Amino acid sequence: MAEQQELDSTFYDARALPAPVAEHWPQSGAELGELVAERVERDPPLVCVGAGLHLDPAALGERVFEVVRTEGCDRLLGLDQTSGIVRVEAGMRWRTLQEALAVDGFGLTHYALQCDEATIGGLLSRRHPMPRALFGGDIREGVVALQAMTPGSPYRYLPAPRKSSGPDMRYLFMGGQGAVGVILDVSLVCWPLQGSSAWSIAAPKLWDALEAWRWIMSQGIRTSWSHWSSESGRLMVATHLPSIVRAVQDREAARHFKDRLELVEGGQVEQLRVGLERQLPDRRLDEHASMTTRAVLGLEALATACERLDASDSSALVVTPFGDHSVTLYVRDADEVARDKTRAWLGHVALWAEPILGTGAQHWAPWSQQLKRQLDPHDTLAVGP
Amino acid sequence: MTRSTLARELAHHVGASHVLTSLPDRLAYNNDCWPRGVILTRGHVVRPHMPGAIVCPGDALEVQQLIQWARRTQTPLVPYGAGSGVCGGGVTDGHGVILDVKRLKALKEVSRDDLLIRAQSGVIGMNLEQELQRQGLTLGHFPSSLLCSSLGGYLAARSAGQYSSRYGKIEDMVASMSVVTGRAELMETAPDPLSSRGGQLDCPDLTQLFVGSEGTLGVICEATLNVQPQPTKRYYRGFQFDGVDEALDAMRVMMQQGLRPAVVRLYDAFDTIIARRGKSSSKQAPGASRMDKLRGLLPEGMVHRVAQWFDDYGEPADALRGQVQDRVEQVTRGLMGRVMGQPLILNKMIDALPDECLLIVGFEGDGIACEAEAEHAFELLRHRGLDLGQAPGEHWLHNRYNVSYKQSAMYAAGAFVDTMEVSTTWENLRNLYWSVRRALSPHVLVMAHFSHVYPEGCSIYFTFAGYAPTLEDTLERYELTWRTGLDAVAASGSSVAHHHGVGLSKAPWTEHDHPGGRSLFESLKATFDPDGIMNPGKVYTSSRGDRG
Repeated sequence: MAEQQELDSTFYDARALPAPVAEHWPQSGAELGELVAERVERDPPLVCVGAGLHLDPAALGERVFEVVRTEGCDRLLGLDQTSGIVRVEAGMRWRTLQEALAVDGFGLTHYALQCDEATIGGLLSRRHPMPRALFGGDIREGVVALQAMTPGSPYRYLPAPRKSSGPDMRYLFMGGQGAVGVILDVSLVCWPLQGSSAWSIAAPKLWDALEAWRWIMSQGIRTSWSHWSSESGRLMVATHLPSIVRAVQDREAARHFKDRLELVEGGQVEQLRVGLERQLPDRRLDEHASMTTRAVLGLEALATACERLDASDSSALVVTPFGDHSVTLYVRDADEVARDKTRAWLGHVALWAEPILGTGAQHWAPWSQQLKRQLDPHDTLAVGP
Repeated sequence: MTRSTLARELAHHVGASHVLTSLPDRLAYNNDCWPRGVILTRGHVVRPHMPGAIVCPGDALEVQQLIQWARRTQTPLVPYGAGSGVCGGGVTDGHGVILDVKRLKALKEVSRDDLLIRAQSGVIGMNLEQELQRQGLTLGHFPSSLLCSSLGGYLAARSAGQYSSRYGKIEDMVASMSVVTGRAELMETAPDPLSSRGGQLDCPDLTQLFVGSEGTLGVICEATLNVQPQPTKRYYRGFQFDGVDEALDAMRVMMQQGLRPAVVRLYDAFDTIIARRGKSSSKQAPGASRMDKLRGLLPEGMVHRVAQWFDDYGEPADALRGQVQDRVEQVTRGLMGRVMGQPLILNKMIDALPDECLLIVGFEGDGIACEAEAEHAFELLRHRGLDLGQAPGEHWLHNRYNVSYKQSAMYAAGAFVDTMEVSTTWENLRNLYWSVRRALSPHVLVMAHFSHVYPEGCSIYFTFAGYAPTLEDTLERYELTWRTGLDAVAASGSSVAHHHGVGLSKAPWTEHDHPGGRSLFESLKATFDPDGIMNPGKVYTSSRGDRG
């Protein structure tokens, strides 16, 4: 364990998070696990913080708590190049992992765009699910092994592409916000780096982007990532496939979109990704976070909402990713009045919607409360009812 | 509780016509498709898993009432779809009540714009798929049991269809479920994308915890699922490789290039011979099962020759015919015993066979991407193997539902047959294959195919057949086979269940797949089934709270 550092409240202030009463700095996943396992009942509860980009303070309730900073738990534990599986500790940053893998000719190319500074553990444990996509999309889809620690005991999901051996216990931790256990390390699918293409399609309005996306779906084209913003007025999609397949798709897209399409190839595709991930609004640190709302909408609901969204002068819009059935939309309003109207309205059209900077109490269903009592009877972990 | 009291109490909730207590009915629900159950049934041992009654609720409210009743009376309930599971997940302990959901069979809503459907759990897979295809859609879930399995069973057992590498597995398809927990509480596992707006995102994700729970946490009543447009293009082909290793490497490269074939099935050397013999043999009916083909290889094919003699020369007196057939059956069993009783020799002979193996690959979809991917994949495979053309792929496509549930011929000949589906990473795949073959070879005849491919690994589907002269010996050999096989899987660091679920069959090995998972499962049970009435003894060997 690293020596206790002086608690830096500016880290929490910048993220609109309450400051803890103490911090811990484990230097490995094993030390992180020991911290959780060795807590005694009278100790303040713990919450893991990586980059602190997605933790919802409402999940902490009114507790006095201590933070476990996971930056030191960031080792790359192994790379199985035959299977395309990388094992990393939960504190590894998303961008850092991509850079480390590139050295060995691998990448996380098929996953949707993620905040570059976010930790793997944070991305997995956050509550916000992305649209499911086979062999890509949400990084939860790529977890083939996981090690976690609950207050009572350790848990391991041994490596396998897939299991049908009972409830998928990974989901007590993935999407669990750290309420019943903390993720120590995971094994993620990664891909050998190969050629890629990206299409930058002129789409001034959200409606235009949706129409372009529907054409892409109709052609059976599978994208690695997708992004549209009202500021750029362009739909960006990338594909990572053999060059022969991409050539056919590129040709057909050029024929369909004509001069609306700009083709991006090679290393520029990766640079595009880096830039977009750096600017994603999905983070507490974003300068506009207090004015931004995140929502998931079905494609039909999005089509219905386009007119209102496109007409709004005060909102900046980002959609990433697009999926076969739904999208994740970010709406940034100019002021609190507009923001509150947006949130009220989105509550009626979106599958769910929440502010980037959560406010108010988090709802915990009775079963969730019961499960918390079962798995964390002594309130070792600060997140939860 | 007497049977009449049981029937009366159940009828109070669902109506008398939806409660079954007769002996034939209880015998019918004595087993799902678990081969161990078949062995017992053929040995006239039916008591261990015969239910006390079968009850068929008509809606979620009746399911709630039944679970409330079960809690009051501490009666185990076993949710039951179509009973096609092969792991004993749908059998009782001899005392419980089967809760058959087949009355919940409606396709309630179809949204073409969002590509979502809402269906009840008792709908049979083929019926659902036919209705969707009539509307130009597909769920994309095609297990070999499609004609006799239910949506609820798919979800409860965490199943995967033959096209999983294109459309995903059932957990990829489900968006939300309506379940009645073991507390008799009706709840949605996630905001329903068809109807929910502005919902709460609870955590953790209940959908993925209930999928695969095999009825141990509650009863799945309905589900909202993702669907796809029905494909308009299909490209199927067969390739021959000099050996399994070469073929597996080609499959790995194909998947890691980002291609997404609908079907990838590699048969090992012996399974390749079986598959080809069935295709080329004029004596076999088109689409004859692999087990029929296996039987045809054995000397007990004389049964067919005797029948042919009768047909050619006219029917002798019934008594004579009966005596001849009885004698033929005796001889058949004796020959089966001699042949199948030496599996180690058989397997060593198989290992000496040429290593050539057959790979079936298929792509389907719409638009430009499908054809482009197929062409590239086929070209990649041509560089590593021999292109056999469309015929093998087309043959598989048209006969893929003729394989399962034709095992009765083997059982009739005194043998048993079962399957074991496991999975691991590409790095570990060869180790897994040979570990299991070595473990099983002394006990049963073994063949395998590789399917359900991923960028990171693959599933292996072992089929094995064995024989023993008596019921007791058969059970002993059967259980020894499973013990040594799954111990080998566990020792190789692989997963003991890819898509059949766990049930009773693999419950002692669940802990291997999830070290430390039992306590988590106990917590889920305490949360959703505090009285332990929901399908006790499944998934994990009897947990503390189970009643049974």
